[in-house]
Amino acid sequence: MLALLLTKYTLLYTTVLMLVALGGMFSERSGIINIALEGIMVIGGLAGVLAAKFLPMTPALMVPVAILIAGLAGLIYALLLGFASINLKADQTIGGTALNLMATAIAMVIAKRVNNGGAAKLPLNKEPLLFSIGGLEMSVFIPIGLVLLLLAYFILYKTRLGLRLRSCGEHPQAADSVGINVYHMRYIGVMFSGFLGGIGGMAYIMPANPEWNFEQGVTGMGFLALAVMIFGQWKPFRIALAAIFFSLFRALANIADSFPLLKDLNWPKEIYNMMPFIASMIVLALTSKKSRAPKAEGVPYDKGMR
Amino acid sequence: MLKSKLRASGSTILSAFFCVLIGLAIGFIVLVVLAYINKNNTYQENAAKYVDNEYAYADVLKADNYLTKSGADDEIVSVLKGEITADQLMQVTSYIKTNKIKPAGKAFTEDELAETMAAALGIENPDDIRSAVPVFTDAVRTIILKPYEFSFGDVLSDAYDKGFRAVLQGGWYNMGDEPLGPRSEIADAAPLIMTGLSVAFAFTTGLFNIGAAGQYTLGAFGALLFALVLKCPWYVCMLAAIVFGALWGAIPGIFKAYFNVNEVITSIMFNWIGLYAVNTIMYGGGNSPMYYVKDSKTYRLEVVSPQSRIPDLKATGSNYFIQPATIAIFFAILIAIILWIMLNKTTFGYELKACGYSKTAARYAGINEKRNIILSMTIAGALAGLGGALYYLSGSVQWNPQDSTALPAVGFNGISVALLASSHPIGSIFSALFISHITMGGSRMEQSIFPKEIANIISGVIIYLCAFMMLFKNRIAKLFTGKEKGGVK
Repeated sequence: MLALLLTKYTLLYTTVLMLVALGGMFSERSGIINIALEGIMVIGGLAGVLAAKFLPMTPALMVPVAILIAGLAGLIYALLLGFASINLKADQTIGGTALNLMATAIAMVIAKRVNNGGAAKLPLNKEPLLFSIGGLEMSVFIPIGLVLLLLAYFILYKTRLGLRLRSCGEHPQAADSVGINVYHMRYIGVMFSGFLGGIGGMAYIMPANPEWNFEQGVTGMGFLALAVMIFGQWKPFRIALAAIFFSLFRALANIADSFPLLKDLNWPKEIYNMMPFIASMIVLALTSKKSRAPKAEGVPYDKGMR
Repeated sequence: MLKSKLRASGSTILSAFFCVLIGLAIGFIVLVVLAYINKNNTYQENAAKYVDNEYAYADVLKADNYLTKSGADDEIVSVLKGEITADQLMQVTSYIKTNKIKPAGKAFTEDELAETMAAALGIENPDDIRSAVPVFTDAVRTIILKPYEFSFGDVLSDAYDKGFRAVLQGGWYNMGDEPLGPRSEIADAAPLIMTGLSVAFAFTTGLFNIGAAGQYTLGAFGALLFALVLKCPWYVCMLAAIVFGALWGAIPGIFKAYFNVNEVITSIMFNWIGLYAVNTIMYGGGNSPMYYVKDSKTYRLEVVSPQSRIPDLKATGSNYFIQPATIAIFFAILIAIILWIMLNKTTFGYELKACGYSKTAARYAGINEKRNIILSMTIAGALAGLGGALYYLSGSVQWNPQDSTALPAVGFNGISVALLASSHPIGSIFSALFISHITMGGSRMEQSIFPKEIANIISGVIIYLCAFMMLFKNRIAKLFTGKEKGGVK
């Protein structure tokens, strides 16, 4: 019973972290540092919640449409980062942080408006998203996440698009010399990251909560996903493994009260909240020395440079 | 030399000013959209009451009162579609009012209205007037909804009156429009200047200190610990805050210098670790010596340890500077000046800036960049920690350890401050005052229509624009002077 709960939560958080980290991977592999994942998640999550709430459709149809809308909203929001980073060659970390600041504020304003001036809490209808297999409650995002993971691997490593994308993140000048449009490729990378991040946001907010207070944004999951991405060394399957690792800790925080062994220890709840972050730091400390980020990430592409 | 420096900073200030203007403009547009939605919602809600065309006696009375006072305007006449005239309309409503004609049920039926209208207009057969019943009910609805009608001008004036005006007035006026003077803004800005300096200082040395919020938290914790538990005087508490903040800043520095972990990730992780740790210790399961169970927050300083409060600012003869302003603002300004001197006039500052421009070049010049990274982050952490002390040691501010999901917003607003000021220490003072101004203004808007987060949207937009506007500052300066800016950078 407890194992089921643990599995349920682990799967939930794994999907979220993996989706968002894959998004970050696409962006950074094309050369754009995407700190705005947190903001993209918030916007995507909000869009998905609103779509699920207001679209007059049967649940069977509503789910895929809402998820698509969440992804699209994330994609459009990420375009802001893309525009600033690619066309205007701004500092990508600053642009990303600005978008994070804006996203929570925008989400709160919209949520409060939907509530007609009340609090920024929106009630969620998670029923259509859930299904059970032998007592294990899963959300529809888990199979979606799996499919997207396989798609991501395929696109990145087995298609021409993926190869070109990767080359723009390693050595954009060389890519340019062969005729690849670096700007286009980077936009595609950013758009993928927006799409996946948006879906990840909805996957975090909707399946496990009866309501969501947008004041908390996505409680730092976007940044945790960045750590997952770095730990996964920007490779899809390693990212998935890293996501499982971090999600285990996060899931422990949720079930700590019911775990007889842990309950005896009587640690305050905050310790469990801290654990995924502490675990991340230990892992990052141990693995970052050999960390191989995409070589040209963070550097705005300038045709005139060598 | 001085002239070109002045020109360089002039174009930076100009660019920052542009970002601010565009940010405010976008904010105004957001306010207009929200005002429109609000007015439209109100209109629709009231219109929905009459969607079934059911009108009670009170509704017709309202219509009659309106017609008696203001007469029938063109809109009403057009609704009547010529079936009956405006005078006839007034006749009917007066008739209903004078004779107190009420519906049998909740609302007038078509038959009842036909009969009443026939009687009022002196027509024998109600069926003759039946075709005019719909226009009568339409007219009544139009009149009732008139107070909720709005023009675009109304929307604009709402957006300004209830929204934008508050943002422009900032903390200078309170919600009742009474002038408070700068005291609230000064009190609010002092911690923000510190976090802004923290981020700005880190930027100048090439590091992004997004961990200012966590360092601020640790600083606040240190200050409160020394105040509530050890009951030290305020300057000792401030020193404690500096040490705690410095420690929390050193950690990302060490991770970057020795483990090659990006300081952004480390800082963010430790923001949350710090928040949870501080909350746990402060709450202590409800038993901690810092926690006042009745208030669900930490003890009030003036009750437990008045010597830990930072002295208030007293200005004779004017109310403009007293409570909540303390001498904290002087500390903030002094430190800003010290930082500017250190960065620009000392070898130490020079080395730090060199590391910021190019790590490898600095190393080539013999500068120990590992040491400098850690030192920079430590100083940045100390600055943010002091910010925490300046806030939590003033007035009757309490920390709520149960509020576990909220990292202090002032930590992130510090990023906005630093970026708007282009990481200049003295500029940070002004940009902090500005951000404080619009943030306070944001909470003074009418919240049911305009949530205070709009101020955050404006800040976010300004930062977004700053991210690339600075790259265009030469072009902007050219627009104004008509001359090409010469020289490097």
